[in-house]
Amino acid sequence: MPANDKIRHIVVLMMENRSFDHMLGLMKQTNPLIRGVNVNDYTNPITGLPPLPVTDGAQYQGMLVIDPGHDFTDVFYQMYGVPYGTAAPSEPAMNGFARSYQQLGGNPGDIMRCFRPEELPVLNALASNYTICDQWFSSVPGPTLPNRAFAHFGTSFGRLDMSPDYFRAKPSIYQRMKRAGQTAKIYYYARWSGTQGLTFLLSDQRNYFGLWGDFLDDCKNNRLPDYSFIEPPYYDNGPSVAADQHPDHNVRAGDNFLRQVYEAVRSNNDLWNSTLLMIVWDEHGGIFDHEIPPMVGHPDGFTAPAFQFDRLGVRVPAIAISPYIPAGVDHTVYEHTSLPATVTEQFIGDPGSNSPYAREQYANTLLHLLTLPEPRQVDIDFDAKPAAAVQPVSTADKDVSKLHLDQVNEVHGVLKRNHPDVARGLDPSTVKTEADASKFIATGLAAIHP
Amino acid sequence: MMPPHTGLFLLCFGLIISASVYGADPCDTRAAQQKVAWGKSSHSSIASEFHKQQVELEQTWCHIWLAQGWDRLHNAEDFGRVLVTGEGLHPTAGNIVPGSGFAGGLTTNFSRAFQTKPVRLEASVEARGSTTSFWESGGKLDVWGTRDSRDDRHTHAVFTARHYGLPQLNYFGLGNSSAVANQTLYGLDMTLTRAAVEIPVPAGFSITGESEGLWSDPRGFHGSQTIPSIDRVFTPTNTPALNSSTAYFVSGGGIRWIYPVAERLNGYSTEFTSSFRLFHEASGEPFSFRRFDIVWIQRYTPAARFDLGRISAISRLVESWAPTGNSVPFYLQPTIGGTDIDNYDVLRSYRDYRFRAPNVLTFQAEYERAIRDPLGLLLFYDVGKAALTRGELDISHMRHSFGAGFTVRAGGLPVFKFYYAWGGSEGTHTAYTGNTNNFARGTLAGVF
Repeated sequence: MPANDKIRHIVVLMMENRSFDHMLGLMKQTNPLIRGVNVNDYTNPITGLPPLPVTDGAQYQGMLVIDPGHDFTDVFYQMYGVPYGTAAPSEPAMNGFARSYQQLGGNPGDIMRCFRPEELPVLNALASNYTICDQWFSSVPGPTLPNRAFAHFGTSFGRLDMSPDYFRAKPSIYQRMKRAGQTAKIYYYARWSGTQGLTFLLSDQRNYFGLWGDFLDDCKNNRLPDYSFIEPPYYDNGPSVAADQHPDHNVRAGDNFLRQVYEAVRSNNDLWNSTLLMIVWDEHGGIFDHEIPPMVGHPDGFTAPAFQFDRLGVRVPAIAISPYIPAGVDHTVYEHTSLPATVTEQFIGDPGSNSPYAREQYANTLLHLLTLPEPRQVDIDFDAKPAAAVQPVSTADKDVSKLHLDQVNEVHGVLKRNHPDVARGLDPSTVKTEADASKFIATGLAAIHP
Repeated sequence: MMPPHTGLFLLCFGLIISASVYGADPCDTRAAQQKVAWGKSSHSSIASEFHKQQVELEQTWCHIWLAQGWDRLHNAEDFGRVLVTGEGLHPTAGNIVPGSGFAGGLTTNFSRAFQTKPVRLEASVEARGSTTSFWESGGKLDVWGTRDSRDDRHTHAVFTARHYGLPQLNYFGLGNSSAVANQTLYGLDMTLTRAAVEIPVPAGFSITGESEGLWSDPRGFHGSQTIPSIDRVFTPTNTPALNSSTAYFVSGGGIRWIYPVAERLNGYSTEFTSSFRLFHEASGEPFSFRRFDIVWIQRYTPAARFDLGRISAISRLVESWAPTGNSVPFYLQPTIGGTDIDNYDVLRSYRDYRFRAPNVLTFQAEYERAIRDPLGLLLFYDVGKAALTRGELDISHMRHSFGAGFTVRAGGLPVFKFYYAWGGSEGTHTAYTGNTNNFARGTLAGVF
């Protein structure tokens, strides 16, 4: 696809460790086009208890106190439902999330919980007004840094480890942009916030890096480079709290950070009318998603002892934002190599001949989403309640389903055997609604898995 | 995300490179089996964190020997990441105070947040000892409010309890004219419990408050073969509280202003901190006093395509008042020269703790720019004065030193400094400082 002559800037914000269903899945209730979930649509089995359904009731913090597993062996279990090293089915069943979290000592029900749209007002306002990419998968069924490497390089060079050392890895998209006479920069939140780019962008640091305050200034003063990659606040420091949404960091703080990024771009009309902003998460962080990650069409030839890099990782939320992008849902399959591929396509040339690695050469790009001939002026009031079009339908007050009631009774049975004191305080006959059932099961599981 | 960590582990584990044979991955298989076994019974969340760390340590250690070439290096670094970062139990390394020598120890870190309350916690417990018998131990609890905030600024409280055992610290006498030939050594035991809070208000301002219990016990007779103990040279007349333990209740508050609120590489930035504290001596000793402390840091980096460098100007003023009949114990007076007990370096050509007085005024100018990234050039000039009375706090007869050095830069900022300082007629001083903060806080914050 040729470059879009209206776009002069591509901005990417990559958040941390949340799955698509967890963050955006329940928008399906109001927008059936979204390949999301309804409460009770899917279940995951756990040891000694009835299968756990997808539910609402995700919490901003304090829910995933134990960090859900997301290294390669954990994700293998989550996707195939059996521990790594045992015979696995040929296709993932996406049914091992609850057991994977259970075996780490977490409450397995929490891994199936999703946010209702109104609980994440910024994310859902953006998702309602621009295009949701509901088939965006992490590049590798593994942890943060290999996935982020795919966004920076178009490959992780066959690595699944979490060493930040990419000193010898070249060329990154930033270096390729520079060679092509373009500008590219990583903006990180503060001097203590860190970025993988610190290890591979050692020369010309002044032009490759900025802090969060520089991003705000550059947006205001029309100094934004052609390509910008934003690292969110990863750590609590001084009066700032981590806002990257990595469990167990506050999700609402991250939602506010999305707003800050959007408003920085949106507040300058010149910039806004020439920018494609992508908001995407690096990996699912061990949290349930129902979509089966597809096989990689064109592997890059790098492999690891444990993995052939022939299948994508779990699906993550992604939203494409621009005044030239209409509200909608896009089912094109993307992965993180779609980011450098899009940047290459827009600023350097055809990725097929200008990208160094196969995954990026063949990745679907995003420029086809810029379908509007004129910029669309959207003014979002993030402080307002969600628009009527996205008003969620709560299932909390509905009568409890038979499936859910069976689970209540089975949980109560386990409690009677193993925790009779707790069981005496819980009466299944009082469960009348879905909300009652969710509360009952959560209380029971908390006792079973303290 | 687990971030980059210190260069120490890059160095240590990076050396483990030799040939090995690829095969199936037994390390991952074993880790998966261990997790399954753990999941068969119930455990507390803390026990699960420890178990997770143990499994990951074994898994990443195993990977080192499974890989070869650069992959072995990466896996060694990954082992180092698990060993020193994140929640759980970790070794720590560093110093305790200037002059303490190399110190090592253990820390354990945990973070928690509440579902029903907008509060987030981080807790650390740490103990550390040095090769020269300095030691410290303590715990720290950070508490953040997590209510909605448009600019990500939240109320932050810190509760700390610490104990230090510092057997040999330099003392040269009081004031700006103390003689280097009068160098002596003293010991100090110090215990503190502290609660501090920072409340953000608009326009980059914060209001701070603190309450503290502080017990100090100077222990003389700690001279070495070449340097005498403090009591051999000084007396309580010229060194307040030379033989006196003190117990303080400290209360105070202040203001902090940061502009711009969002940190940036380019342009101007200002950080201003002021505090006023009352040190009430609670055991009846005549050592109550008040202290006013201001630090003002101004930085400027021209916004240009080419690196023109960054200029920093740092000013500090400390003033102390003691009511009639009272004085400020020598061991609670601020010091300048080399590096002070809080690792703040000024008058860098002088020895650590060189000048000590109840009142201090310092000015520092620094210039840092890239020579050829990641190497940078550092130039600095420090002036300062330690004054026995507030009336002496002026810019006459200030001590000075200057120096030059190299920096290693990452992300456009220096993360490691190596410098040579001279001037001031007391010789030269070569030093290095590491600031791996730019590589991110690889672990939850420790106590020290």
